[in-house]
Amino acid sequence: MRVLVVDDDPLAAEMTAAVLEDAGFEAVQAESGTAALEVLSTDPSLELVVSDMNMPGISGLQCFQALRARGDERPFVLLSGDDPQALRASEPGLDACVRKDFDLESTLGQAIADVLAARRP
Amino acid sequence: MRPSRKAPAGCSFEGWFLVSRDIDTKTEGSAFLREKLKKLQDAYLARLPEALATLQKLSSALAADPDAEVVVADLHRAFHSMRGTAATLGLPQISSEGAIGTELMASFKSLTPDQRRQAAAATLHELAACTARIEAAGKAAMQPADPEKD
Amino acid sequence: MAFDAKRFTARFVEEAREHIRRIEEGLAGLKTAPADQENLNAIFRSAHTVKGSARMLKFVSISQTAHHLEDVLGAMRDQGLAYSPELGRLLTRAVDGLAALIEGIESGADPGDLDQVLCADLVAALSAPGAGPQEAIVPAASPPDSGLPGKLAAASGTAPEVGFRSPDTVRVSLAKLDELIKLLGEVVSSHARLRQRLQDLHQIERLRARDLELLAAGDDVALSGSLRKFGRDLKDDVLAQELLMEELHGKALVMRMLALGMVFDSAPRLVRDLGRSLGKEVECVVSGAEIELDRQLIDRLGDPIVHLLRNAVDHGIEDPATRQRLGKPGYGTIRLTARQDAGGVAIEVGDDGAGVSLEAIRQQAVRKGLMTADQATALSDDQALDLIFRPGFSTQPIITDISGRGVGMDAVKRCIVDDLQGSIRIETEPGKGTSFILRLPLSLAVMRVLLVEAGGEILGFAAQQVAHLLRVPADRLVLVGDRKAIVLDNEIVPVLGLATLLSLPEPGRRLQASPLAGGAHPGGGLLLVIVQVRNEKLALAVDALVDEHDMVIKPLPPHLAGMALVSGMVVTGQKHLVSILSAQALLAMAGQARLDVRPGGAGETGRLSILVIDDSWNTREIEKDVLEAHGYDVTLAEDGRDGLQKALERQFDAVLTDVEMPHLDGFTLTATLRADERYRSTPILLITSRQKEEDKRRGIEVGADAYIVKGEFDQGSLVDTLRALLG
Repeated sequence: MRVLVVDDDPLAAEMTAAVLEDAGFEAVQAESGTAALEVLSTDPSLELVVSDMNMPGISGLQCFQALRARGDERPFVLLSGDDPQALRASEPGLDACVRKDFDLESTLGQAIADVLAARRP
Repeated sequence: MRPSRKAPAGCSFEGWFLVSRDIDTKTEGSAFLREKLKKLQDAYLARLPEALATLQKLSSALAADPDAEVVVADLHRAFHSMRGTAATLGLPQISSEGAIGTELMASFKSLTPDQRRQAAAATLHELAACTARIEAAGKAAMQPADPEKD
Repeated sequence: MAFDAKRFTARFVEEAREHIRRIEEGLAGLKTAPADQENLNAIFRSAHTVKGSARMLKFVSISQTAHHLEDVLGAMRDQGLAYSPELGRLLTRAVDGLAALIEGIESGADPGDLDQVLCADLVAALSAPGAGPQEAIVPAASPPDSGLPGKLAAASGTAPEVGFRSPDTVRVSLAKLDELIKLLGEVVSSHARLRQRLQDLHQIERLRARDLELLAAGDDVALSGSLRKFGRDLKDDVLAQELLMEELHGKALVMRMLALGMVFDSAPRLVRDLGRSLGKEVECVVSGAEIELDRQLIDRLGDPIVHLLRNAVDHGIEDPATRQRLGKPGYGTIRLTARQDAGGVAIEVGDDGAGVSLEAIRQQAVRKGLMTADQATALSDDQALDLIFRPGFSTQPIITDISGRGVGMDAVKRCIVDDLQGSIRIETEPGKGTSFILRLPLSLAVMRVLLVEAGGEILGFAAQQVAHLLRVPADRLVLVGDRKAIVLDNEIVPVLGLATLLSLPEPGRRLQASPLAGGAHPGGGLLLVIVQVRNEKLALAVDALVDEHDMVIKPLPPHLAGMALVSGMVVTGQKHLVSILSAQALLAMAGQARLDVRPGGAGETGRLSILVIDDSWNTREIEKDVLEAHGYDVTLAEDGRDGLQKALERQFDAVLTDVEMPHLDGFTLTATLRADERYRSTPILLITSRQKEEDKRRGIEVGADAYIVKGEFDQGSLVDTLRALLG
């Protein structure tokens, strides 16, 4: 399964990608929300988006809103240094919110598993 | 079992460093991931002086014009991403300093132009202290791990 | 026995309703605190009282139902029958059944038959004590497939006959009555003083007759002295009298105030009943029931609110299967909320259902022959939503007994807007739900009226139609195209002279050259009255503010009632009749004036198409005007999401978008369009209300071509920039 990792910080993107790859996903990186929107519009093989919240240009949340607004329903997991509960509350449509933390390996893996389980018909 | 790294909201970050030393004891996860993490950590620490220079440059710009929206936004974003990235890379002390910087800039952002001029000196002072602590934390993290670990 | 039950029936109904209300409240409380003994006691007592009174009046079905209810409550209180959601539902059903029987007495004399199924269920709940009450109650609590409470279904055939009623009598606290009587006492003594003044006047007249000769000699000191004193005394008395009358009026009005609970309290049951009859589980959450309104309003508010609730249950809430498929909870929620709002009350009926399909409305409008397909497509979303208030307009594919017959929404609007001097607004989001927001004055008898002067006339506005009063320097106005406007809170509001709009003759002393007849104030700047109807605003320049008063608005006599521009009359202190202008009509006139300015559809070929996105109705309409005046073909969108969808449907030559918008802001929209191949190089202009460096930078980051501040339109920058970008 191919996953798009969106983060303007290349190291953070690498780290997220490493966690995902370790969990058996194929990770593709995009360095901004705009780049993500572009890749996602042309590459249907990407099945899930894991995006950082805080980026120049459009934020992860805005990227999510843009996807939904253009009818793209692919699961979207938001990473943030802030309180994930509050973010989730502000945008209930998000599939998951995960705190950027050293626990990423377990929390992100769990979040993705939950999202995929919830999406399964 | 390793102690929780999550500090309760609003608690001080003193004593954080002691807890942070346990990062290398993380045993779950594959060798691949541990190796990758080590590499990314090193890359991050190597890049840290550059990031600190940027912070200093922005701080001087803020001193020159406390009302420069773009500078305030840049500083806020720089600390915020430091907080997030350092956390994922297992550098909790840098992350917590990033959180302090984020807080500082978030409250500064919410001030009126007049209040900003008044608060500028104090904020800049705190920013300098915060940056210095980040530098120290970065250096400490670069030291080779304790012999008893690994 | 010479016991005339009839005399007590009305009293019984009133009391029983009160008890039903308490039981419902209590049951709601049990949900959160199932072991609250005190609450349980209170419910038990209410059920017991209803049983007793009903038995006395020989309402057998009521007393028996209450009896069974009481038994179950007693078991809960004394024998440890545990509360469970199933049991809660059964109890609610019992209360609903009881209430239906009680309402039956009100409409006919007979409460109707006992609901045997319900009673059997209640008995069954009893016989499952201690260990496993839940299991025992589950089958009992789910009624046979007919689902309807027996009495309701039998009485009205298909749909439950439900509605709100307020009693014919009002309970007034003794304290309030005492105050009123005390005030009346003062009125009596004040009257005595006036009688004294009358005597004084006689005295003066006698004085005058006697002193007539002295007067001839020029000595009128005594007379003019008494006259002056008389005048002074009379003035004092009149003033005192005025204060008294005002207070008296106020007190009397307060007595007629009733809590909205009169209307709201029965809503949860009404909604549940309606829901059940349609096979939907619907919960109604009420808040703000304690807010008081004039009973004239309360009495007339019942029907519109019932209609809106019916509408929400029937059209709004989807059936359980659909809801579950959409990942929503199986039961729907309707919120009935009241809150104080700028000197009035706002009541909101909101559901979490499917939302109103604008597409369906447009199609329906075409099917009904109200307009052509092209016209329907050209409607803004607000205009399309407004169609549901047209008589005979219904978008429900299946006509049901509850609603969908297309009668009602027009009646709702007529009642709220025309009769109750309020306003009604719809907010809807596909998949999320619909809210109807009613704004009402606290009282009909008196209304806050703003009196202004324009073109030498005194004119009035009902305060709830006035959004702002502003005095601004003339240079705050911006020129949008060839018309004046003002930027207010991220919105462009057109400015017109009230006198010009009404074609009032301009007094000669005024500058004929001024494009805004009147409005130029000696104190400098313009005096603007900003009227608002739903989302539309209009700034009217007036010469002076004359007064602001609580006044009794009189409706127009029948032969004048067709006048749209004047919604009523008030009488001023000087006994002048003043017209209260209708903001709706003024907005319509202003819109007409605008259409006249627009160039004809000449030059269709080769026109460049522009997409204009702004969540402010005024702003997008004005931008549309400006651009159309310069020969562009303009399509409007009302928020970022709408804009994105329209942009992806067809290729536009340029996009103009607001920055701050709900759902999708201008930055995100720009980034999204840039990610699409077709819009990689299309000019995108961000229009914002304030100059912010950070925003400008973000604009560049997401790939916008220009960043224009709303107030800068007058420098022609909008059209010039667009022209430059389009090459």
